[in-house]
Amino acid sequence: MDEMPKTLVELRDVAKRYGGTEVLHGVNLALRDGEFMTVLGPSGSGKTTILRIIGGLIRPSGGAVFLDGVDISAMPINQRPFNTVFQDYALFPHMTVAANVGYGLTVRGVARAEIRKKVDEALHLVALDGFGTRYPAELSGGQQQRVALARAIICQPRLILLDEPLGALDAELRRQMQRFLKQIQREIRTTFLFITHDQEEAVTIADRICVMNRGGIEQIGSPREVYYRPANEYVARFFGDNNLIDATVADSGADGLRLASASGEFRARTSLAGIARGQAGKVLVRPEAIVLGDAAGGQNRIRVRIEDASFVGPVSQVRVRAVAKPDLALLVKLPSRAEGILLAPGSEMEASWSESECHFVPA
Amino acid sequence: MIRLSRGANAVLLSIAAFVLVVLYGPLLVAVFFSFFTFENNAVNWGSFSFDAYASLAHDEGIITAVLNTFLVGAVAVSIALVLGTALAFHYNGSRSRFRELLQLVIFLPFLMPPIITGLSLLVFFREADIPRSLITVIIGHAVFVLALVYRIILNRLQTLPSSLVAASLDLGASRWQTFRYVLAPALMPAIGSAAILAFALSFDETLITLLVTGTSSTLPMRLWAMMRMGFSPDINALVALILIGSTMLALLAMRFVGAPARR
Ligand SMILES: Nc1ncnc2c1ncn2[C@@H]1O[C@H](COP(=O)(O)OP(=O)(O)OP(=O)(O)O)[C@@H](O)[C@H]1O
Ligand SMILES: [Mg+2]
Repeated sequence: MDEMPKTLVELRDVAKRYGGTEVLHGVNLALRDGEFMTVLGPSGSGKTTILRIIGGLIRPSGGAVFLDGVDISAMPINQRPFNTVFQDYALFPHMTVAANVGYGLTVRGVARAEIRKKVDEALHLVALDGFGTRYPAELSGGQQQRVALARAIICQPRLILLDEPLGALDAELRRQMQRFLKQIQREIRTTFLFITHDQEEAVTIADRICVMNRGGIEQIGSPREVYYRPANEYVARFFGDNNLIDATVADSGADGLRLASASGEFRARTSLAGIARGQAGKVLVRPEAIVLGDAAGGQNRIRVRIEDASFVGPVSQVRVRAVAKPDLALLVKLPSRAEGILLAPGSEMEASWSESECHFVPA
Repeated sequence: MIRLSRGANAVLLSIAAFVLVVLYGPLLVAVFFSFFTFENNAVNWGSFSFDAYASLAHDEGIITAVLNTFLVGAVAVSIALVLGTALAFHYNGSRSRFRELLQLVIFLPFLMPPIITGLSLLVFFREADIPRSLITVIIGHAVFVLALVYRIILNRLQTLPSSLVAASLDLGASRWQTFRYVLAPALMPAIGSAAILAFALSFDETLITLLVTGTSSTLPMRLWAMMRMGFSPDINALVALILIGSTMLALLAMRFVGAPARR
């Protein structure tokens, strides 16, 4: 095994109930020191609830929160070495930018000259030099965002929690802020836990992604892992387009899986442990991993008929159907070419993909 | 923004002007006659003087009444501000059903006819063996204006984003620091307007005062007593003073209430 970075914050079996409704259950999450983790999931899946439990705004109904291995479940919010960037920024409207940024130091009784110095540094870090005397209402959305970040950074917290901080920004500013956040995170070497419900954002910005659904964690892994090696069907469908084919495990060996399906046999890999013969599930193959044409060589092959091909910018989407089993439709993505793709609807050819591009998840 | 038509605006303006003239016009007559005398069915233009005011200033009873009014107002409003703020925080922060009951108790003295409120206070003071004095008047006024103070402060508290308090605590502030640095400044305009409106209420409260006071009297009571003996230049002068005081309070209150949120 690799040298693992040490765990900063850990949630063990955390649950949260409001009255009779359970909004979080069995949440186990280990945040590594210095990583940038995004929490991704549909609305209402419990992302904010997790963040608030870590930050100390609410108490879990079950389980515990650990910091450096010590149970901090009962530690009040104002003693936790974490700071939050709220979705609505929550800047204090009656204070100047400088007073906002320095607030965490002011309440700790830090000397005034020291505060002024640190505030200037923090404003410099977020590229807002000279904005100290303004009021929050005199700033643009992106600038308020950066003030909120500077305010969270100034106390040098162990962990910064961000609840969909870019939600209110337009697409261009959003991308700019993503790069900016990542850059700052590297500069100050602090762990970030970043909530979003934008898949693309989660994939671009994160070291690891935590995928949530209905109050539980579906998978935690690197962007590549959750994209190519999803732990289950939910995650497989959550990120981008995917082809899912019903199959059963015919043989599982050290070199991979042999799968039987109505459309023939496939060879696939899986990173999941304990998959035995007879296990039913889905074969996954990404549309961009499929090669069309009789000359193409891949371990997995099906004879298909072209249904239609459409140009959608940088990629062209081709819909094909298995000749032997017409209810199996596949989506194929090919790089677009100026002269178009010469695939006449109705023509038959081989669709193939390699074993390493093929993944199996149990049902 | 929704705009009214020209016609509707004109109608509203005329109604406002009419109300102003009919309601407050006669008071201007009183103000006028605090400077002039009326002899043989005609205004004696040569009689202009501040005599009425001077005699007010020498009237021991009036002076005590003015002082009493201000004392009662200041103390009752202070009590109501402290209680009202605390109760508003309680209502905003608690989830218990008890808070609805408590709120009803706060509103009742304000919503009930003053005669009922005054009578129940009177009965209470008698049963509790508290002698009627300025203190009972202060308690009565505090109970009466509490609802207003409470409602104004609660209103502001409820419209404050809850993330402000969360952010303050999150940044390491104690509860007291959060109140001191974040909530109090945000509530200040509300507290200010509540104080002025409550003082204005206390200033001309008559019925409850009449029932729970001992021998001391406040300005409106004094005016009431004097009017029963017929109009005199003194009364006109007193009306003029009360009018000026009330108008100034109203203007002040409007500045606070209508002021756009600072920055
Ligand atoms: N105070 C509360 N009382 C009752 N239910 C609550 C409370 N707070 C949150 N919930 C419920 O908990 C569930 C999870 O809420 P949460 O805010 O964590 O979702 P989320 O993943 O952050 O969603 P979004 O993307 O919309 O912000 C929701 O169904 C919500 O209705
Ligand atoms: Mg949320």
